[in-house]
Amino acid sequence: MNSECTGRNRRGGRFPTRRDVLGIAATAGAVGILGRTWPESVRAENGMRSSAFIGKADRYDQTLRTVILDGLRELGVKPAEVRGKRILLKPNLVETADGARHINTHPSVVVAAAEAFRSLGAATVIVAEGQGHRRDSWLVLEESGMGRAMDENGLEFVDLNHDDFRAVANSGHRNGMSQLHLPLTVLESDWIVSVAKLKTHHWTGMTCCMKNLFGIMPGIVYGWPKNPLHQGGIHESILDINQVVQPQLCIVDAIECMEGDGPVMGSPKNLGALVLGRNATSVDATCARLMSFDPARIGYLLGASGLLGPISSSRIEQRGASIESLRTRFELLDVRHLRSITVS
Amino acid sequence: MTGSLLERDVADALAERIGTCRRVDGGWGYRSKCESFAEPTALCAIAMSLCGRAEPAMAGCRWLAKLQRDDGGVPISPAMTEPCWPTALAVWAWQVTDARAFDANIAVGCAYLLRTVGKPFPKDRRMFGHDTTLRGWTWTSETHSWVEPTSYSIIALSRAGFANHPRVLEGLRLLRDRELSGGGWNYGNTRVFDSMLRSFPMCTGVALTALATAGVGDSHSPTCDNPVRELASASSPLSLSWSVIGLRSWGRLPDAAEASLTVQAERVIRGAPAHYAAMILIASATDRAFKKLVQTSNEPVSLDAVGRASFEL
Repeated sequence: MNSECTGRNRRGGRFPTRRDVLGIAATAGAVGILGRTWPESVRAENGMRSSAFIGKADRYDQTLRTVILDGLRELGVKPAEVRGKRILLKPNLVETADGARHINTHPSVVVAAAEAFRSLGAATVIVAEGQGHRRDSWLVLEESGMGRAMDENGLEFVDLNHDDFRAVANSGHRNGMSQLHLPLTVLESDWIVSVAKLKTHHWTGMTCCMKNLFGIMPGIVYGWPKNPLHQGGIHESILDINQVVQPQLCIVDAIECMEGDGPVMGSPKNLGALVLGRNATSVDATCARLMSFDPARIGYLLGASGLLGPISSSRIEQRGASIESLRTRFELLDVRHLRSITVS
Repeated sequence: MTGSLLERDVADALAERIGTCRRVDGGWGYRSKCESFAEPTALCAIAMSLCGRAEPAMAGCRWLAKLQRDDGGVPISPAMTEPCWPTALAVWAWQVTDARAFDANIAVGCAYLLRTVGKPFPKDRRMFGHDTTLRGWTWTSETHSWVEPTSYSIIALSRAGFANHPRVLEGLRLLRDRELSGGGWNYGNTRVFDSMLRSFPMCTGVALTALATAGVGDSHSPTCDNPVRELASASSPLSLSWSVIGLRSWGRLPDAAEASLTVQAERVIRGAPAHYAAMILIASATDRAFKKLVQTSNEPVSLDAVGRASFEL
C-alpha cells in the first residue's frame, strides 16, 4: 500500500489530525465552518481500485470533444451504458466577473461533454446547477457565456436551487443531518456527471468533482450560501452528499484553473488538461497531485479514502498523460489550516 | 412618471403569463409544472395586486395564509415545516394585497419575525470582514444572518409599524455593515480572508428597498451609485427588477429602466417562471402602486437610534 494510505507519511511524520488539517478549529468551530470528528489516520482502502484519465488540452475549442471521447474509451465507457440514458451535466457555476474564465466551468467543456454523450446515444442531456452565492441563474448563465452556449447547442438548463425536491436519508450522517433534500431532476437522472472546475479553496484546500456536488443541494432549503452544510462541516457535508449521490462520471475542466484565494477570488493558473474518471474520489485525488497537493492532507479525501473510492496512487490507474508531465504547484492562501497540504 | 414603466400590452402579457402559470390550489411554483411554493406565490400575489387583479392576488394570499404555521412562520412549501424564510415575503404580500383581511396573519407573522434571529458568532477579523455579532435574519434556523432574509424581514416589519423596533434597527445596522466598500451588496460577506468580494445587483436592490422602506434613505448617498452603474449590466429579469425597485424606492430611477424592463419583459413572456414576470410587473408599477409596495406606517427611523457612527448617510 502506498504511504499515502497509511498512518505515517513519507517523511515519517504522523498524518495530520483534524486540528492539523483544518488548523483553525478553535475559531472556526464557533463559526461553524468545520466538522465534528475526523479520523486520525488514513484507513485501509478496502481493496478499492479505480482509473483516471488525463487528456492534454490547452485551449477551449472544438478538440475538447475528442479528448472527452478518448477519455471515455480509456475508462471503458461503452455506448451501451449511455444509450437511452438521461444525462445530467453538473458544471461549477459560482459567480461571474469580467474576463474571469477561471471561476466557472468553461461552456466549451460542457458543450463538448454534451456532444460526446449525444454521440454515444444518450436520450437526453441537460445542464443543471444550483449556485451557492448568486440566486439569479439567468444572470450567471448570461455573464458566464453558458447560456449562449446552451442555446446554440439546444441544451436545457435546470435551476436546482428552485427545483421540486425530495428528502432522502443521509446515510453518512457526518454533518448532523438525518436527511438530505435532493432535487427531483437529480433523482430522476440516470447519469450524474460532475463537470467540475479545478480550483483551490480557502476552506478545504481544493474544490473539484466532490465539492462540486454542493451545487445540487437546493438553495430554497439550504439558503445562499448553503450555510447548514458549512455549519455541519464542509468536509463532512462533501462526504455525506457524495455518499448519497455518486456521480457516474467526472469531467474536470483543468485547462484554466484557479490558485490562491479560491474558489472565487483567486488568480488564473494554466494547467492544460481535462481529467476524467468514473470515481469522484480518485479523480479528485489525481487532481490534487496535479496541483502538488497530498490527497491525504485534504480533509474530505482523507475521509473518502476506502469508503467512496481510493486516493492512493497505487490504486488509481493513470491513463492518458502522466501526472508528472503536468504537475505544477498551485499556490494556496497563507492560512494555517492549508499549510500542510502542498508537497515539495 | 405616473404610469407603468411598461406599455400596456406588455404589462398585460406579463399578467397573463402569471395567470397561466397559476396552479389550481391558488399558488405558484418556481417552474410552471412544479408544486406551489411560498416565495413565488408571494411575489405573484404582490404583482397581481399592484396591477389591479384582485382575484388571483387574494387567492395567492389565502394559499399563503393556509400555509402559515400556528407560530406565524411560513415554510417554503406545504411539504415542509422548515425553513420559514418566506415568512417576511408572505407578510409583505398580505400587506400589499389586503392588510385588513389578513391582519391576524400579519400580526402573527411579524411576531414570528421578531422572535427569529440569525446565529451570531464572535468576531474574527482575520477571516471575515463583517460584524458577525449582529443577528439579523437567516435563511434557515440556527445559521448565520444574510442580506436577503434580513432585508425581507426589515421590509415586512417596517411596513407593520416596527421600523423603530430594536430588531429592525439591528437589521439596518447589519445591512450597512455588510455593504461593500465599493458600494452595493452581495449575499452577505464583505471580505473573506484577504479578498473583498463582489456585489450582486439583485442583493443590492433588495437591500436598498429594505433601507428605504424602513425610512432610511438619502437620494444623494453613494450607496446608490453602484447600483446605478450595475443596472446597465443587470441583464436578467430578477436582477434588473430588484435593481429598479431598490433605486425607485430611493427616488433614483435611471433613464435606462423602461427600455431595459421592456427587453426583459419580452424574454419572460416567451417563457420564464411566473415570479420572473411578477418581479418585472412589480418593478414597473405605476407610481401610485409602487408607493403601496414600499410605504411604511412609521415616522422615519432615527439615525441616532441606529447608531450614527455606522450610519453615515
